[in-house]
Amino acid sequence: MVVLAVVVGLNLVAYADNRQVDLSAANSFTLSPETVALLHQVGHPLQIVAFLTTGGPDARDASYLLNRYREVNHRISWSVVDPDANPGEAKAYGITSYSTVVLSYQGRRITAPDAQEADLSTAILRLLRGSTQQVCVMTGDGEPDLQDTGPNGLADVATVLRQNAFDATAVDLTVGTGTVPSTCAAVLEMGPQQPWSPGEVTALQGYLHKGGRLMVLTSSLSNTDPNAVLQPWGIGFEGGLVLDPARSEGVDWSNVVVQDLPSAGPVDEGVTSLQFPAPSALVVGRNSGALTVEDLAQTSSQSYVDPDPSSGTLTFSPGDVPGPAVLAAASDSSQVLNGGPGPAPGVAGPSAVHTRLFVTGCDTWMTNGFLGNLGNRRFFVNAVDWLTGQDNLVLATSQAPGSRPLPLTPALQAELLGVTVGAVPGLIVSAALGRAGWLRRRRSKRRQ
Amino acid sequence: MKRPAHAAAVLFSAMLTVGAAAAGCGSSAKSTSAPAPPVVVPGPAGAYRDINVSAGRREVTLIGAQIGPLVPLVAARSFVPTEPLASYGLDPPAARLTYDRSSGAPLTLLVGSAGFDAHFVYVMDPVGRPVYTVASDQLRAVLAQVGVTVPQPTS
Repeated sequence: MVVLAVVVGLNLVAYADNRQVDLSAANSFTLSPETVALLHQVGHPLQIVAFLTTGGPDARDASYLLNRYREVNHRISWSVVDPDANPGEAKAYGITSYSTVVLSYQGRRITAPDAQEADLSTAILRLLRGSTQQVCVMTGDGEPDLQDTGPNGLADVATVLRQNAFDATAVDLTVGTGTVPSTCAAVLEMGPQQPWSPGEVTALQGYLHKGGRLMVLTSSLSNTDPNAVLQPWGIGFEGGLVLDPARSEGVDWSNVVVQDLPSAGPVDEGVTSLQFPAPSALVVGRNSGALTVEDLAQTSSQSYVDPDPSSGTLTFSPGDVPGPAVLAAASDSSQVLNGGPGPAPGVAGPSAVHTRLFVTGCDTWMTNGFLGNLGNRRFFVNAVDWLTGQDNLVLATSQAPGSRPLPLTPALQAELLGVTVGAVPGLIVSAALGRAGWLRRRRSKRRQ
Repeated sequence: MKRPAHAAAVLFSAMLTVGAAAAGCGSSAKSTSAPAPPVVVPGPAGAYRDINVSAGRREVTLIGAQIGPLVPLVAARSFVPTEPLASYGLDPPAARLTYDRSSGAPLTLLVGSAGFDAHFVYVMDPVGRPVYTVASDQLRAVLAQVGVTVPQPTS
């Protein structure tokens, strides 16, 4: 009985003192050092609201993660709101999809696309930085309008940019000085319909050579030929119409669903599929020297490119180019320029410039009608983050995918109590007593 | 000679009982298994003579095969409303569905607005308090007949 009392007592003591040890191979259940350091910099109340279906596994995992955040810094408060049961609150925060997380800090508010550590920490870093970056949206060539709330407009893009601490400013290079303002962290050319003027081409070429960050979203439905600007950076616009019988929305083979996202880089991160209506193909060059070119999205092997869709037949026919076709690509180049601002403020001399280019052969996937479909929104945010250099923030706080925390829920605690205090000691003591009884019987038989 | 074995058996049973009882307190099975989707209107379709759909002054009566899409009416989930019913578009409701049973009193449901991502529509039985979320696709065509538009999902 003494042994039993000791065993039960030890278990009760251990049960009363909850401690967690992360034994996973990649410390998946532990906040990264970058996140912990970041959280220590939060000097004012930070409110985090995660919109998730309460009671579901996502909400449970988010609660676990957000508890870790609060453990590091008690200025952080959090809540999980069920957007189904609280539509008024979801509307007040502008929520349009599950898993959206809203972070508020010193009067500023931004959203994170998911309740994952990388997304949350990146959002917090932006809040702490306090300033918004200006992204310049090109106009003057028939591009859709940022104010347009119709299906072909870009009002949702404007909202997404604003929610992610970007200030979207319209820039018309067809008038005025014809140069890209120095305040632009990136230039977004989304869906031009008319040919670029020679002045625009010169302005964009000069911008890229000085370390510009450019997004070009175009298609063969446009009259714009972007190759004079794109090709020096390893990406070519091939044109035509890409059709994918294996992966398309409904019976429209040109409404392509992209599921091959081969890049391990930050633009594809967290994106599993895209919807690209009426896309055209790109040509991706080879890496050379400081130039890195990467295929971001491609169609299935059953797809093909119809170079002349106006010919009438959309089935595979002679002259069509077999797939897979590249629909999105990125180019990254580092070079050293003589002159310019210099390596440091106030210091003259050579300086390193970092040119980045993001191109898609589709100019409608980011419109209001499609931005919310599949992973389009995340893809767009990732691309802008990468162009403006914020991908470093994402990478710095990324965890290995597949994190599956094991929170100590009340049910789990009860199970642990039952097993550790009841069943396991019971089995041990019972086995010992049984063994003792068997030995006594055996001795008695021998004496007889 | 029988005492030790007997004592062990009794102790073992007691321990297992305590353990099982403690584990049962958490009712882990209940907390981990997915609950069955709530049935708003049970089948079969033959149990109903017709369904009246009304919104304002407009109304249509569905009969025969037309009532098939609305019987059984199964919700994705149900919950007790935490916001005013107006938040769910239920005060006043956008439409009413009145199921005329072959036997028994008619069953009336209030139809509210679409959810935050338009994947579902709020539905409530005015007799009970739970609010149900019913797939927008199941109600869109029916509600369109009385001029109520259910938007397409945002994601």
